[in-house]
Amino acid sequence: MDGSTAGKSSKTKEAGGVPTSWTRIGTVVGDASTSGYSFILRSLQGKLGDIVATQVEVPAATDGTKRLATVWGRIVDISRTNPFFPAEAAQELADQNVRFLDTVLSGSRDHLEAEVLILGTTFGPDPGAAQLTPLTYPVKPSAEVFYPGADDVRRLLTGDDETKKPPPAKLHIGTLIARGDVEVSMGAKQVVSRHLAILAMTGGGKTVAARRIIRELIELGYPLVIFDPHGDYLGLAEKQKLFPKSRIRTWYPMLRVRDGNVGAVTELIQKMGKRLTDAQQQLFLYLLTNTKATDGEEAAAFIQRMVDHADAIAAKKRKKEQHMDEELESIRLPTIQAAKRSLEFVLANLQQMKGNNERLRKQDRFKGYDFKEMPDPWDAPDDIVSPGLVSIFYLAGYDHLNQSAIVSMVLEALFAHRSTLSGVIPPFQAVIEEAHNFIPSRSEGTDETPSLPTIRKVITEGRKFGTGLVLISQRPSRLDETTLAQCNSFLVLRLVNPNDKRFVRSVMENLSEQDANILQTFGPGQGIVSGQAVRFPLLVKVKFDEDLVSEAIGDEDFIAEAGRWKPDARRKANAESVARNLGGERPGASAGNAGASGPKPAGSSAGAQAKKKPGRRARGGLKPEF
Amino acid sequence: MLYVARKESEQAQAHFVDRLSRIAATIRDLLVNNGLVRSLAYRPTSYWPSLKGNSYAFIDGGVANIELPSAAPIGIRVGSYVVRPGDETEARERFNIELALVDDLFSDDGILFDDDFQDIAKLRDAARMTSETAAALRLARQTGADRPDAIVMHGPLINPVAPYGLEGFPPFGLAACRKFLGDDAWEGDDTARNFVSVYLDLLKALRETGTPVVGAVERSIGRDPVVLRRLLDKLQRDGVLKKDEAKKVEDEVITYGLNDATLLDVVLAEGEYVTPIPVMRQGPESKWPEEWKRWIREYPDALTTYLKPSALVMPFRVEAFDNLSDFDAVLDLILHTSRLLPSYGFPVGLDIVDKFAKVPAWMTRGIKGQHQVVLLKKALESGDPATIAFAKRVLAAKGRDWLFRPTA
Repeated sequence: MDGSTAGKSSKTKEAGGVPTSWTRIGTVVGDASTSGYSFILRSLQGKLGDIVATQVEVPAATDGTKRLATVWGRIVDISRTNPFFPAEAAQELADQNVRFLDTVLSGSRDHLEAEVLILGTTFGPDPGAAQLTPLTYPVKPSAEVFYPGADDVRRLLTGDDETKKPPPAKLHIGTLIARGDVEVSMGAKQVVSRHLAILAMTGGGKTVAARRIIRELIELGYPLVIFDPHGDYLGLAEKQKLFPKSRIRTWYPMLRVRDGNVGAVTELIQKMGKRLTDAQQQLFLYLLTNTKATDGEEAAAFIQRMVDHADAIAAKKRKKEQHMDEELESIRLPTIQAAKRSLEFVLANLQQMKGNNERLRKQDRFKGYDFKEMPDPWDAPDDIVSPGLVSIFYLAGYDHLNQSAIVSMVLEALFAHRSTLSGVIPPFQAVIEEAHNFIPSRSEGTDETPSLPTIRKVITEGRKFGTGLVLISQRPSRLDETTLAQCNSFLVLRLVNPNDKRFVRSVMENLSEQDANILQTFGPGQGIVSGQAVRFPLLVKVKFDEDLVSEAIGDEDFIAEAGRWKPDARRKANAESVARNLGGERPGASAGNAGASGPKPAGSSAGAQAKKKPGRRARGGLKPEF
Repeated sequence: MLYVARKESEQAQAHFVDRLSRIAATIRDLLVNNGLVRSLAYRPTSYWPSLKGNSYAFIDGGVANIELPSAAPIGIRVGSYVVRPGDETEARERFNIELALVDDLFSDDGILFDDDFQDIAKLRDAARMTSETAAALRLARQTGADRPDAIVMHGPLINPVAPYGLEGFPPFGLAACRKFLGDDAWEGDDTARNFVSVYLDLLKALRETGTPVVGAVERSIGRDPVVLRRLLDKLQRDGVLKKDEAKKVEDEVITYGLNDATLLDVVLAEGEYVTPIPVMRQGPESKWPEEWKRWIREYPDALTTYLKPSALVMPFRVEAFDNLSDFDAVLDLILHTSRLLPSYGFPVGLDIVDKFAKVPAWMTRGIKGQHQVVLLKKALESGDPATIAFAKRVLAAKGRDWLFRPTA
């Protein structure tokens, strides 16, 4: 349908109560129930995802009175069969390489049967004004099925919102897939208080969808905190001029020890370190508890002081000093060295990740960006959350563990402010991209993830304290099921992985099997929205905000970059100088390189064959993800 | 009995197979030696594109089987499927219900038959054969681009009519005759409106159109090897086979209960068919009703052959009028349309139109339901308890039904 019949008022009625502008598109057949029915669809008169309507008389009371209900439904499946085209004929055509049209076979008598999921019923002339109620009596086989006008569908989707004063805030997300003339919005109140999950495979359009919702929230002036592991949302800062009423701030993380997070920091240090023996662990805990943290001190400095403390203990041990804490008496020197090495390892990693983040921020493409060290969420939460403020935490360069710790610390502090009713910050919405790294399922090793308990707490209690979450993930099956199930609204775009589809069905109560089956067929930006933020599940085409596409952070063209790549001339000159002046090959040079440099000098084979010494594990064993 | 069956079966079967192969070899030799077997090549890739610009019609009738104690309605419809191979427009295929007739034998104003007759099956058969031929005539009379290059009917082109020349067999109504013959001004008395004469008029008119019309018979019933007999007669007439020899072959075939289809199944190879031979389909004159002999004599012979589309399927009978100029071309079409259904081995166009014209069960049930409602309503209106009880009984079951059987 092209919606040509759309837009007509539903004032004019046929005898049965259906507006004359509605087009007849089929007839109900087979077994109908109160949850669904099938109908024979007229050729090219409807498609998957269309909202359709039929009418049925339902008992109003036990005295035999009845009411005429309009039954609204969504086409969830269409099967097409042609009994006049036998399978064996198709096989013969294929075997003989004969064109169907050249034969006498028939292809025109196909039969379209559409399956409809019932959304609910309305009584009376205006679908929008009436409350959508469950169908209590089955649809009648032989009933006519109609394609309603766009206005009627629009009113159905919005209910009586338009008549409310003031109308409730909406987040416009796009249009119905099947009808570009019907716009779809989500209830802003439901999204900010009851959480939203955006799920899609890579390329499915989850960032586009998230940007759409973020934009709508920004335009409402709602405070936002965005945890951005890859810089997908930094472009918003670049487009600040589009949001004159809002401020968009970009923060880089800094782990500082505070009275409120000392536990989290020490736990992080423990998790980042190497596996320790019981004796080493005992010393490690001693160092943690006996190295006094200064409030606001950088975590790296704190660790450095722990290392110094360990050195001091080792020195005392070497001198065999008598005055030592009782806990340290049984600790041997090698144990101290091992614990110290673990701390040094953590320190090196932290510094490396901090450096990574810094290097990323200093790239040319971020030249115009004003990155600031993140404010202390305990001390200055209002620098992160305030009306019209969008805080983007750029987490790139840090590994998952550290990113998770940062999210945990920030959210914990902000939520504490809200839940204790401190009155310092307003309600806010937190957006967590790559949510599977922050709320992983048990099978992913949740012990390593500091943010999991924090997010669980926020998602469970946040509704009461105005702390909403938008969880975004490309691997739903790797998400913590308990946490995800707390989301009351879902926007699910293209998903192909069977585990992901199964998982999504298990957490979305109202996702039908047919809907789950079409997830893999969605194109970019197409998806299904369901939950409390909409009246019933809808297939939507998310609006693409072209003006929000970042000029700095577009899709990198690595092919072009590789083509342009010039090796560093100084590196080459240095290497040649060493080779020329010092001669021979570096011990341990690869056989391939040796072969390429011509005949080996006498005696070199002995060197090449020498057994390699087991080297120390290289520093920075935990590689940060970029 | 089982013992004997087990002991004797193997020997009997071996003997049968041996005799069958001997008979088949003999008949194949007779046919091949005398040029009575022809062959068509299956060449789909070149054949189908060559049909571009032509149109072909397939015709079949569907009958609603409704039996009620109070009424015997006849519901018949004849569907056509006209297709233009190679046409890429919407006009490539055309499905049409050429005729749809409903009649109640106990109804005074029935449009089909003027009067009642006890053998309902015969009435239905007569009505179906007439309707199908009338539909073929309607298509064959079309002119210009609408005229089909060939019409293929499901079933015999020419049916035996003697069984319908019974005393009291009702004539068709005038309206029905006009509809069949496509002539609104047609007039005729009871004799002219009888099936035997109307069907003859239709066949003559159809033959005269010059449009190639054939009937493809899906299942050849009966044990009489009619076509073989005609072939042996021909060989005798041509002086190439002695009477005794012909008799010997015929006796052997009859002894083993072989009909044309079963015999030719082992005689013919893939794509082969017997040289078409005229067959008079009306049976021995001695069995013709005296009053209809004049008309039956006028019935045309059916130019008959058996075609074996592939090694996997049985040959089937194809009939045409004796004036068909290029039977081979139509048989080529029949072969290629049959090969589109390799397992079924029957023209796919007839399979398509059969599905289209078939009266579905839900429609039959609907008609029956309506009749039942009317019967019960009338009985209730009569107020007579015995009539009401009768109506209930006949609607629930018939006669001494198992429903009424006493239990132990």
